[in-house]
Amino acid sequence: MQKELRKNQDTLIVTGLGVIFFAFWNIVKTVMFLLLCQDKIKDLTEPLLSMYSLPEQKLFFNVIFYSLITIAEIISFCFTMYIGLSARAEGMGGSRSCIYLVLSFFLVFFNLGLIYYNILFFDIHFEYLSDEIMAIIFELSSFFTLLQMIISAIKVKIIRHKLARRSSHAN
Amino acid sequence: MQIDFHYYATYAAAFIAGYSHEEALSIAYSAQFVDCCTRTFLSKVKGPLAAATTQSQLELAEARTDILGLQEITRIWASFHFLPYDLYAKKKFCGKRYLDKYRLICNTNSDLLVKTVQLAAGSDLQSIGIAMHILADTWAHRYFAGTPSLVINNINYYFYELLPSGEFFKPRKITFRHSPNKSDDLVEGLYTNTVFQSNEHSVMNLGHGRAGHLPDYSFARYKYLPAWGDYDVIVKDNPTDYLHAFCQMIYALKFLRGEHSAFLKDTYDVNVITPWFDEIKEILTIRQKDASGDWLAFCESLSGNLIEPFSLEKYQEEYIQASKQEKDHTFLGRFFLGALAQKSMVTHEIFSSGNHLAGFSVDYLKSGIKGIRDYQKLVQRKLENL
Repeated sequence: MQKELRKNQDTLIVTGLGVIFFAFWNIVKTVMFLLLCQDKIKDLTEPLLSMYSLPEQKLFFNVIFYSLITIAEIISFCFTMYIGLSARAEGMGGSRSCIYLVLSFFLVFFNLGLIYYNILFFDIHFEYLSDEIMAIIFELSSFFTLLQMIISAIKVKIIRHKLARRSSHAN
Repeated sequence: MQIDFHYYATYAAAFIAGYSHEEALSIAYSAQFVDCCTRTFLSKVKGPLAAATTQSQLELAEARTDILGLQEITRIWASFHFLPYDLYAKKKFCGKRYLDKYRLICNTNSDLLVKTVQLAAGSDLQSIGIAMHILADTWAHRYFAGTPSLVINNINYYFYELLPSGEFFKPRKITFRHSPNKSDDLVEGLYTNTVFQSNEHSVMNLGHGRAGHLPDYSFARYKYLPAWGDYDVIVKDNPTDYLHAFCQMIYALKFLRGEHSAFLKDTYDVNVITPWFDEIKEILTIRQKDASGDWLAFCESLSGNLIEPFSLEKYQEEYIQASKQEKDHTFLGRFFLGALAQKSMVTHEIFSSGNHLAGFSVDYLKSGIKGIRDYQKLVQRKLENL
């Protein structure tokens, strides 16, 4: 049982690092999108911007738009980092509450949603097909990393509980 | 292992086994010389380069890690310092590349050890010394492989020294650092090991580099997770292992003197060391980096003779000055022949098992191929004996 515990703790450390990596990747992805996909952003914001006539109103709208994106990214980053760091800490031998596990379930469903969205709007004739494929691959990797992390975390908690019961019986 | 065991303890074992002071000194010198016979030294004395039994840090730093370079490294380290335990070991869910390295893991009482000791039977004292070095190293270096491999030789954060605390042992986490200039701090538990290199074939992943000098300290007891172990903890008790090595050396030396008809695995001459058991155990358990002083005192009290300190240059001039025909009959010449024979035997065994990590092995007598010039000496010697 100790062997199983060590194995799952190691997996937890690795997947926790993976989740941390994906947290940084999300930031990079968003920044790259904002810098390189200005035409797509224009397509998204044009219908809303057309409602405003004054340039100050358009500027204000843009500021709000980008601020909301930044805040959402920061929240998402902190959220994901908390999950990754907690998993890593639990893998290193520390004890963590189940909050990060519950939050990771939310993240898994969010990931599933993203994968579904990417597949639903997958266009084989799309100009940047390789980008679409890579996006799906990354989302799938993130999903499986989170899934593996959850499975390992649950196994670690179960084994620790069993070991604690065994030692209390022995005493 | 270090000079304290390879030189002094081997001398003590040889003397206890019945060898004279001079014979024991020759055996001990040869045992220690295995850790000194580098290509650099061989170039200096103009000896056969293929007889190298170790590689210096500089040589390792410059060593190539392509296929040929790795084979050269494996040939040396697997033949003299990390004798493979089971060349036909099986492990589930592994490809051949992993299995080849897994099969080179060193452990005690292997078939190859029996062949090593039998190879030294009827041979010179130098060959006996080489065999004793290899035998001793199988105890110290067990669970590591003599080939650069991250997936076999790596360790992780789970590395604890077991410090005696009354009847039990208290685990203390070991902190590894990578400063070759600083010596190990036994008090604080700070030890030097090789830097982690993610490259599978980096020389940093050769042997027990990742565990530092701990396998070579006779007092050390520790537990860790080897990379090959699938999360099984290995507990290493060096004092017990070194004692086994000492007793097995005595048994092997008695066999080589002709007192036993065969060399059997897992056999130790414990009874003969009864008068000195406590003294030997104390030397092995004292917490010190080098027990040479204690072993020297023990050897001198055992034999009543002065033991000269090990000197690399002792037999150099004899070999350099000898004529071409006489070189093989000098002390170093006989050592080189013994080393070539040992390396040839182990390489052949590894190759015969289908493992190419130590390179190719050719039977020159059968195939008639000229091959590497250095090994022709072995062929000539075989023909002379026939």
